[in-house]
Amino acid sequence: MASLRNAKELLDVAKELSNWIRGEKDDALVLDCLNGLGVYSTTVLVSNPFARWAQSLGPRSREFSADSVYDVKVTSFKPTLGRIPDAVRVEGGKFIVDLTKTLGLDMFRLEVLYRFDSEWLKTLVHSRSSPEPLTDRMRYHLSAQLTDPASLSAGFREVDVNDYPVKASVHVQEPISTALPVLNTIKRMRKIEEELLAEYNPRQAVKVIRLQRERHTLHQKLQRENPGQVLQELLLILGPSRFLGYLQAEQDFRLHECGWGTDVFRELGAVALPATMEVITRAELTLDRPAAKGLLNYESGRFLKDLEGVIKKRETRARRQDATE
Amino acid sequence: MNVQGLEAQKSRYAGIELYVSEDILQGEDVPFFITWKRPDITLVELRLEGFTDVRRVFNVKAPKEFLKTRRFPTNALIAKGYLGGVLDTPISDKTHQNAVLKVHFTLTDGDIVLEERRVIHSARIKAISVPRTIVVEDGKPEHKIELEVSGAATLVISLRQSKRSRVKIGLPATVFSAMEAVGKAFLEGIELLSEHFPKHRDVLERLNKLMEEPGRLSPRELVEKVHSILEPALSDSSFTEGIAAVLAGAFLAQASIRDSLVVPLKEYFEATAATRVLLASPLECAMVPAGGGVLECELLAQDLRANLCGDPVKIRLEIVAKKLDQVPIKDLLLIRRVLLG
Repeated sequence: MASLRNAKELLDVAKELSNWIRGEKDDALVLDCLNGLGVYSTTVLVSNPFARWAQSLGPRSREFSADSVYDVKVTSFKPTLGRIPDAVRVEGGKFIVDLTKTLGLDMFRLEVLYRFDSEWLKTLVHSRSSPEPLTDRMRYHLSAQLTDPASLSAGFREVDVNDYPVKASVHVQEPISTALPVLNTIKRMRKIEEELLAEYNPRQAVKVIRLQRERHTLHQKLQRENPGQVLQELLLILGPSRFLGYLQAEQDFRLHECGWGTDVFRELGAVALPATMEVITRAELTLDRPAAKGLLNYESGRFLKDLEGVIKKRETRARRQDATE
Repeated sequence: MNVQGLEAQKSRYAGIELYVSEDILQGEDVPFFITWKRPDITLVELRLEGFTDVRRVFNVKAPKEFLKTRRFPTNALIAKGYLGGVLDTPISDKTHQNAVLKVHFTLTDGDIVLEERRVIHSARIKAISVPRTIVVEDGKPEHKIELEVSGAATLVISLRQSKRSRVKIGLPATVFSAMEAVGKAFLEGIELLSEHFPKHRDVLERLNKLMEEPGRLSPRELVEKVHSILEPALSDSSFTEGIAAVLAGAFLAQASIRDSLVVPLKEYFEATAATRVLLASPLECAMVPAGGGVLECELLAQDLRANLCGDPVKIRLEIVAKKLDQVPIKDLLLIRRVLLG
């Protein structure tokens, strides 16, 4: 599917359309980053009989190849309010706009929604999120700014870049490591093993038997505790929608979504737990406000507490099981 | 200054915003922008201390020409009241450096200066003490190599062994067998996936081929290879979910590897300590032959942008063990961090 790859292409289309429509016009361009759509809109005011007469001249319908066009809308503002569905029809893979349906109107808007190439968007905006929090352990700094307002502004009264995404990598491994799930059992086992190995005195047989017995109990407990289940619970906490609850965006940025970073804990090739979560925040940029700054706050303390909660719950369950046996 | 003086000062700077991004690592490009909503500014001049250059400017008619002097008349700007750009930062031996962006505004009636100060961070690692000999018994070393990290940046440490090293660095056998078991279950999952995602059959076939003979590659290489094979298909989110489910399923289905699962989990949790020094391969062990041998390797430290942080630390020591033994690298290291400044 074709998509627009540069501002010139988009401007050419807009200019062509603008020339086609007569009347007092207000052209605007909105880049909707969330949906990957460039929305060119022209609002036409037909305020006097002469303008109305001029409206009726020239070709009244126009075709758009549906290739890079996502949708075409004609909306009436005055005297009635609402979309005019008859004004646009799709035939043989083409959008056909028929402006005869707008002849009686005082004010209407034509919107053409194009798919645009996301790589192109990256050349229009420069953005950064700090690679790691260095001054405040919980904050990531975000910024985004237009690199070339000129390429967009030509011909438009208004240019909006809506929901421009800025990605931040939030490190999650550290709080997880502090919480140390299931591993208290393992730690105790290791300690016992160390003690057993360090014991050379044959007169300490009773102690060795006691340690061996405890080791056996711990081993059984470990079989029951099932680290796989702990992993599953961890995976739940690290689930993107759940993890969003530990994040807030401030100032010009809004929180959108998050997912696992690519730098998952790789070594085993099997235990896939993320070292980072990739968080997408979004901001608006306009010709009037060409730059945005903000913060992404990560409540690592609460995340750690919830992790510990999972482990405690599990340990209590295991203890209860021990008591019943 | 009296209250009136303060008010006058405040109004002189009113309506101007200077932003320079924060928490900077060495070598990073640092964006800045200046916005203002007042007509009396005629010239904006950038002065740098600690930053090496202004790499790019945004919203300027002939950027190259004005970049030479770093002086930007406001009539050379395209949209009104906005000048943005990117600053270069130096790479040096220092763990932290101060940097300042000073912006000098010429007004119709005088001038004003705004500035933002930043710290450019890095970190360095050095060996404090390397024992000549370390005795290992049942996987436990008697002494440790002491390392000191200075600076605030997170470090990732990887090891490069010398060909001469008799003690080899590698993964313990238990990890390999666990990998094999998971790999097998993963392969079965892949077959299932190719039924559900016929359009990604190519990717899955390449993956299948790779997983059938994983022995040729080290686990790290394997994972990287898997990642590069999968990458083109990862934009399809339902396919990504499928792969993740197969991987998790392959893993959780292995009751037999439950014990060996505990080890990697533990390693994951221990991979990053409060020192923010990560081992690139936390499961790696020094494989000590019976009787012991010399371990010769280099320790490379990188920050999160993969910049080398200082020269590699050369390590040469003898590891003594009565019988064939393996000792986790992380147990051989004792890392401390000192924050300066």
